[in-house]
Amino acid sequence: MSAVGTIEQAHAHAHDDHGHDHHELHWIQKYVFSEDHKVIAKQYLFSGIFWAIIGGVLSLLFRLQLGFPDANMDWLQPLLGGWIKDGKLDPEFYLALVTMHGTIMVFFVLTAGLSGTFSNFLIPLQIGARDMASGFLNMLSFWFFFLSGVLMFISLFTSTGPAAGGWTVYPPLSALPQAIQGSQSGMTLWLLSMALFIVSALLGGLNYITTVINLRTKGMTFDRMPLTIWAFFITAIIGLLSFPVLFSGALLLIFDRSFGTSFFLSEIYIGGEHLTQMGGSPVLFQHLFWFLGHPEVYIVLIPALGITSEIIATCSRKPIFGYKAMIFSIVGIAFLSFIVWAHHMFVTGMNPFLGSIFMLLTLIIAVPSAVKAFNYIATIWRGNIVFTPAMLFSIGLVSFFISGGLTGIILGNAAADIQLHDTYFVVAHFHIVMGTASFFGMVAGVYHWFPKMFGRMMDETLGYVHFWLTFIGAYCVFFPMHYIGIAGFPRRYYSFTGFDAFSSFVDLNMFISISAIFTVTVQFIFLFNFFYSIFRGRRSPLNPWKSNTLEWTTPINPGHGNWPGEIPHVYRWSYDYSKPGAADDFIPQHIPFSQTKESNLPGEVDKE
Amino acid sequence: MNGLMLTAVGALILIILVLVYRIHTLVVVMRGAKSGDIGMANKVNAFIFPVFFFVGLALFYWSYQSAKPYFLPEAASEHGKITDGIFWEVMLILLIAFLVTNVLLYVFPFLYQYKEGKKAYFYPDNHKLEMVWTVIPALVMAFFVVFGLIEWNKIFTFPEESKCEVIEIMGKQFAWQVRYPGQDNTLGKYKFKEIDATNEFGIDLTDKASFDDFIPRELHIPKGKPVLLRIRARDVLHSVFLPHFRVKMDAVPGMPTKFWFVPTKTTAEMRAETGNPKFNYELACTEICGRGHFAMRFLVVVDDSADYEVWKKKQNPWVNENADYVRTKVPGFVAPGEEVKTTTPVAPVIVDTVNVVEELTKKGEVSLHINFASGSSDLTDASMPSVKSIFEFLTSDKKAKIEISGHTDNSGDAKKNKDLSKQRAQAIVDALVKLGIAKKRLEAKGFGAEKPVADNATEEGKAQNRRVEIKKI
Repeated sequence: MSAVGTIEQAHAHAHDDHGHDHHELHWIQKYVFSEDHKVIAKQYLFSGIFWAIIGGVLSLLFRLQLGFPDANMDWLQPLLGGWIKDGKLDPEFYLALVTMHGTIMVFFVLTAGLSGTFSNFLIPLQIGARDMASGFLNMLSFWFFFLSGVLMFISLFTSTGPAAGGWTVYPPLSALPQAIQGSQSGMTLWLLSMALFIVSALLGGLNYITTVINLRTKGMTFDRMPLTIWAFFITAIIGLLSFPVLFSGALLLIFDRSFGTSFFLSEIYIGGEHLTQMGGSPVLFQHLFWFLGHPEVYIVLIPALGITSEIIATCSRKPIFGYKAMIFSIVGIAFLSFIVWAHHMFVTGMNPFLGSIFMLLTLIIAVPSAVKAFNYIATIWRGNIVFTPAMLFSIGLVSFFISGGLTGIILGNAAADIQLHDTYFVVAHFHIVMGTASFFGMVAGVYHWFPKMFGRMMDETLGYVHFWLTFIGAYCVFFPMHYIGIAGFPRRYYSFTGFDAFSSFVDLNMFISISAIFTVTVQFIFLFNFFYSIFRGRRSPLNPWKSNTLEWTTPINPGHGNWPGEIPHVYRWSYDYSKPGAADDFIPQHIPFSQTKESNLPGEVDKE
Repeated sequence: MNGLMLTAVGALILIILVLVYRIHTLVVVMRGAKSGDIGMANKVNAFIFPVFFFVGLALFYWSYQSAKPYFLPEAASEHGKITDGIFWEVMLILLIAFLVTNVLLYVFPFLYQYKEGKKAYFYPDNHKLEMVWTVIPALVMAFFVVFGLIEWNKIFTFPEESKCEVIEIMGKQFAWQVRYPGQDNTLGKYKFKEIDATNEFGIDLTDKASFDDFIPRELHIPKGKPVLLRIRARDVLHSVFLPHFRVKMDAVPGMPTKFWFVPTKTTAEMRAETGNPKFNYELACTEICGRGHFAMRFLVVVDDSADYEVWKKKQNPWVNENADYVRTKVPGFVAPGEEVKTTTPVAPVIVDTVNVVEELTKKGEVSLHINFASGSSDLTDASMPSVKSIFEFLTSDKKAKIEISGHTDNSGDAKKNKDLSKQRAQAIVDALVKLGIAKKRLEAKGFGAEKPVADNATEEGKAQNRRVEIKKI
């Protein structure tokens, strides 16, 4: 304890020495190349919103094709140019749309936009630190991400189109420019962009981990940390261990594409030509990809679960049920996430024995996941629930987490997966459990911490409308996809008319498309609310949600260094809501037990 | 114009939003409602949760009932019935979990909504309860794992090859091809280096076992007998998906895979059962493979064993259909029933190795040496790959129109040559129309020997001139 205290004091001291310099920061250092975690968090948030709009619009374009296969799309020509020919969307561009939608949503929105925003914003504020361990690395992390985004954005406008081999970019399709146009310059840009993205993720992750371990304020022991911080901490560890593997996969793919190596290629005859590459294995790439790809699901989901844990406890005015079990389940899920990747590959020709091992491991993940779901429900049981928009979205997340998690149990069953693999059942499953659930977590976080970010409140009524329309819309989009999947419809099909077996469900596809258009459109309510409230929102009180965590002890608009005076010390966990005997229904973490004698439980004394 | 319209509509929506919001704010101010109060809105939200759930549940039931008729018919393979069973049994158990958790999740918000003066129940944990909901899912999962594994291992325990119908299936951009072992029940070896425009499988002609292999245009399989698919791909990943048989396995270049199953219903039985006289089994691709991924349909027919044997007997080995080609690799090869011209030197045959689809897409024209029976306009089977590749181009570029022109060498009567070349071009048009291409997209022309591309003095030159030119118009 004393060591931590010394570091903390030294840090605070160093900070005070430079205190007077901060007024003279150039605006570029303050708002552009800023090292302040709060500014960087907002930069991630705005980038995330930008990419979410792009990703959403791309999905609408291919939903138009799927829902209205006979429609004339000439009206999209101003936007898509040559990709519309004679009123029809180009089939290769359809694949490019699907690919870019996946890449953008998974990496740029739900990884950078979610983890980047909230890990940066909340870690120092909730553990009681003046900033991240390295502000400079943190800044670098954002600008690597920015650069990666620029490359990906440019790839959308190349004449041969962006990458089109699916977001999983399996070779040989992604390795051979003659196999599909998207594997020309679009794929090169994709790989470069992802390489930069991984650098960004690693720099960010290192910082999150270091900060959580080293910069906690006095009294903020690991077993008092809010679950948000636990979630970000574990997420960063997962990222640090898994992203390098994707990096190696991407690197080998670059070699195969540009330098004639054959890591993933063998015996290929294409375009009337025998390729010289021999002895590589496409399945090797799949292993490397999913070694990140599966943990990535949890990189996306766990922060959202952390955010909702915090919001559900606060708004139910109850301690989170089973705090320790929640931590163990996050750790358990994180650990298991590394040893289940090959359940994406049951029918890729991998040895069936591996299939049985991965089926066993995969189904084990259901156990900690179930614990989390039950603990959420137990938390709202006998609560005194205040439905803020953040709370609504958090309950929405739990709903999606359950619905999507359950179908995962079917897909994890190798024998049942034979038929369902690469059908719309899979699309429905992961869009619900990882896409929508994480998206809801992210939106919940924005509603909840908006006052801390901008010193103003978002409009609640618009928030309610936004929630209900989005909630209904998202279920209308993804629920019917299960039916289409059970009927065997393969994913990434430009059109289903060629097959007798897949010629049904025309109406249902149209319904899904209309629902998707509706759902994306209602997000403008959020955007309006968000931007309007930044400038014109009601001024926020100091602690609008009557929350226990440390960020609400900072000024309404915290400056650089977060607390103007000394950093508060922590004496208790963050979930003392509605404690029997206490006058109020919350006791913030920085209140010592000596001041709350009336509500202390046996053994709760300040250990100073 | 449309862009302008869209912008206008967007702007209008934005303006309406702003207005509505302003009015709402003003109304709040007028009412004097204090911000920060927990009032009516909380009750409304609390009420919508259970309403959402029960209405949603009713819609779930209704939509399921109306979607059910469009699900695939009962599995037509032995393992398929069992995996379907696993799917629906697991689904049922999950449905129970879904209902229990969701009832709680949607009813609790209503029951425990904020009430003035009420205090929530301080309930940080209960180890017994947590133990219960850790152990129960663990037991259920263990149950799933055991039953799933038993079936999975059964599916991947392959029967002896001698007891199976072994069929090779090869995926390429963007079509499937199948090869049968023929009379000797042994598939001939293949070599990747032997693949070319005619020999699409890369059949190794030094292996005698390949001489009775045949490559039909439909996949026929017998009812009640294990079928072993040897699966490979020659360009990118594909995936063999036989939806009705619950079969799926990737086709991987450089790494052959396999899958076996026992068909249980013939096409005729399935037609009777589904009440659809046009019912057909199909083969699809489920691994993204490029532009034509969605169009890799291949017809599958399940015969009863007698019909299947009859069908097999009727098939002509690939080498016999491509005798000219085979002779370029195996000098002196003679197909059974083929007229042996030992006295006259064999006219050189040019084997097209160009990628028709690519040439047409890039250059807009291609010259092919399509085989016709000598002096007639009958297409030989050997020429089918070329016709098929033109067909592929026409399906990949749905709008393209092409002109097909026939050319001959200068031997024989000029008028006759011209007529013959026209008839030959027309024969290709007819073949394409038969494959489903609209007539208006095709134009046949005949030039006889009018437009030579090589010297007619040599046999080689003549062979060059006997050609068909395809041009995009």
